[in-house]
Amino acid sequence: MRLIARQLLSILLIALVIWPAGLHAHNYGYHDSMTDLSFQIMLALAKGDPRFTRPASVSPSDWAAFISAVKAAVPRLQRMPSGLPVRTLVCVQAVDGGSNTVSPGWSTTSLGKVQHAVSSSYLSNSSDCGVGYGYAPGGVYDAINPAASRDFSGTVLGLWAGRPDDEVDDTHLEIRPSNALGLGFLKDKINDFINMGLAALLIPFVCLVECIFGGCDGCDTDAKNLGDDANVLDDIEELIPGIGDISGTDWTGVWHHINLFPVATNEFDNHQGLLTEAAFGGAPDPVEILLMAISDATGLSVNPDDSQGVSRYQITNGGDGHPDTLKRDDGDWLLTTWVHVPFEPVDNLGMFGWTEFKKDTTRTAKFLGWPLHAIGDATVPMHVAATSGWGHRPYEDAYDNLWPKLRHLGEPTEIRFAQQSLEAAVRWRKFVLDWRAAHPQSSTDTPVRDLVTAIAKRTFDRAMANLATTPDWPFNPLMSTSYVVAKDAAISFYQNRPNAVALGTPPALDGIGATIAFLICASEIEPWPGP
Amino acid sequence: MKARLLAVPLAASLVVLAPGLARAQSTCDDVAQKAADQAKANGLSPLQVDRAYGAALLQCKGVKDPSLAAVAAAVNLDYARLARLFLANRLTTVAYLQRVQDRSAKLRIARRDPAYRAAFVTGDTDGDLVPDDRDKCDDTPELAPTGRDGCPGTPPPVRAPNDDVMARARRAFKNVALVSNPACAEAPVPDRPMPLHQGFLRPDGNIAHHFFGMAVSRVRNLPAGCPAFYQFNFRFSDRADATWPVSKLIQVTFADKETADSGPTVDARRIFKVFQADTSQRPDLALERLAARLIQRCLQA
Repeated sequence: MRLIARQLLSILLIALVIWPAGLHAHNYGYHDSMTDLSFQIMLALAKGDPRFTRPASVSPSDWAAFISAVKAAVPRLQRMPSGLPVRTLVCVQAVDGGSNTVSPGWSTTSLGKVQHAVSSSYLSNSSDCGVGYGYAPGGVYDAINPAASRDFSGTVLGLWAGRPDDEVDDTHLEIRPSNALGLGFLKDKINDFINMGLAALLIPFVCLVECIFGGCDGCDTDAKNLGDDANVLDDIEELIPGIGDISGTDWTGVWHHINLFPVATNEFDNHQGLLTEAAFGGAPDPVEILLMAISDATGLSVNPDDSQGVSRYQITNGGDGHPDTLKRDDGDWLLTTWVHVPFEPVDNLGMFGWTEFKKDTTRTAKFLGWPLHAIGDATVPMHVAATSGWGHRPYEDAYDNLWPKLRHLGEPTEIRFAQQSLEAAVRWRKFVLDWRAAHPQSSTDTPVRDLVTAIAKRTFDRAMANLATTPDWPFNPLMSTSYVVAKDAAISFYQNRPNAVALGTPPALDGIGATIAFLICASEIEPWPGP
Repeated sequence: MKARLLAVPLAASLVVLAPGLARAQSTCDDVAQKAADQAKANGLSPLQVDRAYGAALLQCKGVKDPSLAAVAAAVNLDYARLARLFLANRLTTVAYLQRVQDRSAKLRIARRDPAYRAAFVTGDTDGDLVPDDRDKCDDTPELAPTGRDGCPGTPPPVRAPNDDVMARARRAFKNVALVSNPACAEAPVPDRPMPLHQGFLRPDGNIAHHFFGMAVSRVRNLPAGCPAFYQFNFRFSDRADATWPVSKLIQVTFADKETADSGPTVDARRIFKVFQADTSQRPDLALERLAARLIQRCLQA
């Protein structure tokens, strides 16, 4: 049979892509923590903490205007509805040393009145009340935002900032035959292979995609479970709908890139997003090449009808002076397998959320999550080089782990780091104000696409400059492969180098600074919920 | 009770596996299959048959321009062929990437230029995706990259990982090659087998020997070492059994070597059996209790 090879690949690929992926398989902590810390710094300024003094490079007048803007923004942000869904009031453990129950409406109120930190699984784990147990802002912020009267706005904003990675409906794929063979014997063959003792073959495939787009956590175990499960056919029965509809957190990230290489074709936007075929400026890494071959061999294609990213992230009439997306119809999206499809860029993802936020006059915090997420992604070199390889996953894991060191948690230099962040915040605030001055009809709008693209450009330029002096950082053609077979070693490559914190500091400062600037600017549109 | 059984042998078919869009996919597969059958009946080459299938599938799925669907189907087919060759280690990484980029570039031209894709539909004899009316080299080797004039030349350089780095990745995913059967890499679309006979047999009164048999014409156009598989779809139309939805479709697949035919017609026919007592070798059948149901329905009918 001509395509038995493709069929076999299909079976295995399907088995892996529909395997339940762990939530927050991406760098959730980075997005969450960056947003929360940004809010804590704003809170410190709003409270007039004397340690947060004017950075030397900022003029007194600019600083005064900035402080004034922060002081206006914080109470407005605190009045935003959290947008969180209602959860059970019973918690799996005691909350803040008290009982295992929480008050009705504790989280579904305005940000400033949320009574506890929200957990990273608030939106996904309905069996728990959703409290983030043991939360503290950390370092100097524990006293600035004391437990007795703690403001948990930052945790809610952080939760929403991480949310786009879990928007599984953004991307739906399907296996589409490229010739006169179909998928008919899938179920039988999966079972046959397992009975033939070939389940071990699944392991590397499970790891392949999961380690590229997901967290790679326990992927060996998952694969073995598939092989060991005596009732595997029952599982497969459940998975069969996935044959016609493949989605999951492993695939949300296809909308989270922006390609800033000058050679990018940019057919549909001024900067395109991920195009695996031409990843990293036309030099896909080995894992991406293998992924491309497997996807082509199996006909893995975008299902535009079900992929809400198609409608969400093609932006027209954005009102920000940015060129419209050259809109593709369904036929354009499914013309080839997904690896040959240029996805919309991450600045469009941010713009989607911003547009929805502006439309929703209740100003719930939810839709701020998209621009906040886009800002975070724009500080990651692999996201702005539009590659899912070249060390993407281990880099993100490493800087997730390094976050406490990046923010100098509990160190004497903690305040100095905050001042550096504020220096960046003033700069990004000026970026928006300059844009507003040039667009007087949009005096309270925020140019989210320009902002995200500008951050991404700085990240890109820095990363490319780094390649000249440190050729294997941050882009390394071995690390995504290593991540599959020796995950810890690959993460360690980024995390444990002597200058890891120094290398990660500039993008972190840009991210925090831009987040602060964005939150200020977002709070300036009208109408806004009253006190 | 009236029951009716339909058993359809197919070498390949897209089966309804999921509600909603998957049904649409199945419908489109049927449409595409008809286009492929028609192309085959018209005496077109296997490559052209596949292209006809792909173009019909894309049109059914939503590609509005038939000529664009035709070019894209040809490109997708080449992507898949190249991928299989690459995974089977029969193409170097550089050669693979160059050929993929060549196909992508031609698709980009076709998207932009309606005249190009219209010309493509009228003829691309050597399959290089350059329409005959502008192809100055009409005998391009299979899957070779060409210039816009259709002549093989030096393709633009590609930035590919060096052999050592690529080999490491292949080792990390070494089983990719194991599940890719090189013997099937360039095999044609299999012939569609024809149903010949089907029925229930009790050869000797021993329930262990009761079986439902299906005879089909043999798929004979595959190269040595590339096995054929035969899929049978069983669909029940008995609405009386509430536990057995009328839409329930069971697929059973047999490898060519599982044939029970050893008679003089073995070159042209394959016989496959579902045994009533067969639970050990095909636990999928046991789970579905297919054999028992088949036989029960036959007896009731």
